[in-house]
Amino acid sequence: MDIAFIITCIQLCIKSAPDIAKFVKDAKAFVDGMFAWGMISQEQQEKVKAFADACQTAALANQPPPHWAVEDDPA
Amino acid sequence: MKRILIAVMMLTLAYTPVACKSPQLASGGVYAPAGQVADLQLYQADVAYALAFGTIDSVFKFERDNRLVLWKLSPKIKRTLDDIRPQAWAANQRWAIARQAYITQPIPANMTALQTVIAKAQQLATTAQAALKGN
Repeated sequence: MDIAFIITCIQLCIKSAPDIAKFVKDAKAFVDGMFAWGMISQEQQEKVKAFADACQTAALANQPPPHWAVEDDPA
Repeated sequence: MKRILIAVMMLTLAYTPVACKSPQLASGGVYAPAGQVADLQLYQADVAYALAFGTIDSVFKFERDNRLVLWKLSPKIKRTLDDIRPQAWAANQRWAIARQAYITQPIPANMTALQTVIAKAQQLATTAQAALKGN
């Protein structure tokens, strides 16, 4: 394993960190909402329903996100 | 890769069902319209789906955005995820149909069908995560 490859891997990790952090934060919010003690607010309900409705509409219209498509292997 | 592994582990932890006191829906919310019976099962099904879909979507996007580097690490990552992509979309479409059926007719049989599809999506999410972890 050469040094350039290791550096590339480190750069990849640094570049992707904000995306991963954002997703983990969003996922935690959903989990908090699902397993919350007490009341689930109207706002939280609306947030969940809006997401599910949007996904349902896209799925019924057969509109997958671009990164869900199978593409050719890199050369 | 360590950060990726840490993120995947955090997602796995977040994904692990924790037995807590059952939540209640605030009256007047979209899952609990005033004067009607609250539908906690649909709320929980939608949350479970959102987690599974979000996990799958993030893995696919991560692979697509960093394809060349990941390809150099292991071609198996893309190939494994390419096997999952059509299955995930098919499961997503089955979920949409099942959810629509439950909303139209909220009977236990339709909820069971919805939960079955969500279980499949959760299984695919786990497989997608494993493709990043194990390759």
